[in-house]
Amino acid sequence: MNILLFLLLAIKPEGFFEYQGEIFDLKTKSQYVGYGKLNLTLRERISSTYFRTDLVYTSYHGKTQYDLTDFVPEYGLPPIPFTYNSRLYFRNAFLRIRISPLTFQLGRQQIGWGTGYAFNPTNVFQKKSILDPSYELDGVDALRMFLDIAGSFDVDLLYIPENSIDSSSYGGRLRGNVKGFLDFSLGYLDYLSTYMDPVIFLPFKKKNKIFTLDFSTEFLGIGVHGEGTYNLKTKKKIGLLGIDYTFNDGLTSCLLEYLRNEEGKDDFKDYNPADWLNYLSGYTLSMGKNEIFFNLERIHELFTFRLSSIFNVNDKSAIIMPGVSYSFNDYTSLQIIGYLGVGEENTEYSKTNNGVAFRIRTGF
Amino acid sequence: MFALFTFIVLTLSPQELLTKVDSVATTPHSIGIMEQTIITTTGKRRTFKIKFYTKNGMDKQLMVYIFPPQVRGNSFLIIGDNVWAYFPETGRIRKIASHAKKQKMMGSDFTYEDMTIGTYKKKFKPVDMKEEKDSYILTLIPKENAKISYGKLVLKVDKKTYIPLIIDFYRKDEDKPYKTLIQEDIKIVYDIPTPMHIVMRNNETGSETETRTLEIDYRTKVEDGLFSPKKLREVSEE
Repeated sequence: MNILLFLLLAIKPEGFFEYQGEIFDLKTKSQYVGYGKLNLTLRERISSTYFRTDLVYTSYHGKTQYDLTDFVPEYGLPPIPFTYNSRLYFRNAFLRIRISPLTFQLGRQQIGWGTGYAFNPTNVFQKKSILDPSYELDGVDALRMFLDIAGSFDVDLLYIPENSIDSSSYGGRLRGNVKGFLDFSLGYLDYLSTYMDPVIFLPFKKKNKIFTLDFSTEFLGIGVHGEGTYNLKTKKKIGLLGIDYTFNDGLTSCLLEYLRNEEGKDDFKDYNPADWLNYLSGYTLSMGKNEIFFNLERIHELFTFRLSSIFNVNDKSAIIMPGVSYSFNDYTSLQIIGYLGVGEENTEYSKTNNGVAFRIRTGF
Repeated sequence: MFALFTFIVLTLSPQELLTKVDSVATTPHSIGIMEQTIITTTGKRRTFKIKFYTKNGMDKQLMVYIFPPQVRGNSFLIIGDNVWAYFPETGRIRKIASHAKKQKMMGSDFTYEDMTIGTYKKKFKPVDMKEEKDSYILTLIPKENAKISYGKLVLKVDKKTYIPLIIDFYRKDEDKPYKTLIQEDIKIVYDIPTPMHIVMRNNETGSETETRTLEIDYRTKVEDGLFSPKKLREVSEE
């Protein structure tokens, strides 16, 4: 207890408190779910060592108990309950030690691979929510080593321990910059991934081996980025190509990303319960083979207006997400976002629960 | 002697004056903290504190936002014309494309392009120079191949320090300045004249951004390895 008190006094705590509320339709009834979240950050650099912890407590209320089958078409599946439980956990907790030219990073940390905004096929360890791609992600327990090599190149090696050495994930990438013009990385991963069993509808794990690639550059002044993976076992490729452009007023910008996911389906009539459960559990990136994400943003002083949309090219379904954020002062901001799913019955995004969410965050 | 000095000053060509302006601004390296306040058209204020590192004048710059908590860790790396941004929320390092350089940097009245101007001589050529009692009025236009969106810059250069006290930024084919930069409270820090207070005013909207240097150190050596996209995440977090 004394040590904890000493730590709190010695290291200035920082972080944020956030409240989010969401009203949404579920089976023609309006529901409300909300949470309060405290993120307490402690970080300190001592000589060539640095540590950071983000201790998070999230407390849910309102509609916290769900049946996953409410979010999938009628297949006559048995109920699959899940609950938003209040929890205390470390979002990040790592130690970084620098022994030039090596840097070791040990513990729960952000992997941060990939250049995509809406999807990151190369970051197989952390999955973004398509409804809020820029939201903080929970860290991954990993042992990592960075090796500085000539010029602006480095090697990033990672090891993610599991129950046995054989089932553990490992890999690395070479990262570099060519003449300030092109940022790129090339990598390889042997990792443990989770899938939904199509018969018993329970998650199971299996090993995958993939090559990864990402880049970020510009063409005719327009930002171009992309990333992709090639699965050595399934021979399937997942690729993302994106462009971003800022209009002459300097206040309006747009982003367009195209995802080609060979693990997805061409026709929504081929979606099966396992596809839905894989998608809803975040085990797969998308249900469709071809998806387009679009974001248009305009800044007006302390306001940012936003219109985002994700469109499944194969089943012609989409989510339209208008939003606004406002900065009250140096510490507090408000974000409001609406979700509207459109498309034929039983398509990927037609099952989105229409709703509105608001989020207030105060930093300290 | 005074007459000779006056003669030398008077015979300064526009090109020579530009060289002097650039040489004053080209400090080998610096580390410091600045406070930036954005004043909106409705008078609302938003204040940031930024830790900065520079090398070879403004050719290499690293800016890490340290206040307020909402933006802590956001950082920008500038090497010549190239800009990279790091946002801790997403953990992504992104190169900012040329078109995006017109964007306001963190909502301020400075664009990414303003930050990448570096030395004037590289991107601009002088086309006119007038002399006033304490200053020179120097007009610059972009060189043919320079990636500059402005049509011209008009600098009011202090005769004593060669620091541009006022810079008017004109858009192409416009005869009223779109933005005005004011540099004042010039202090001599380690023999280097340093403007401690800088204001960028948007004459079109009425918004302005004030930058006040709180700390500056020209003596501590800045490692070259700091200015690398691969180091951006590490530097921003720490």
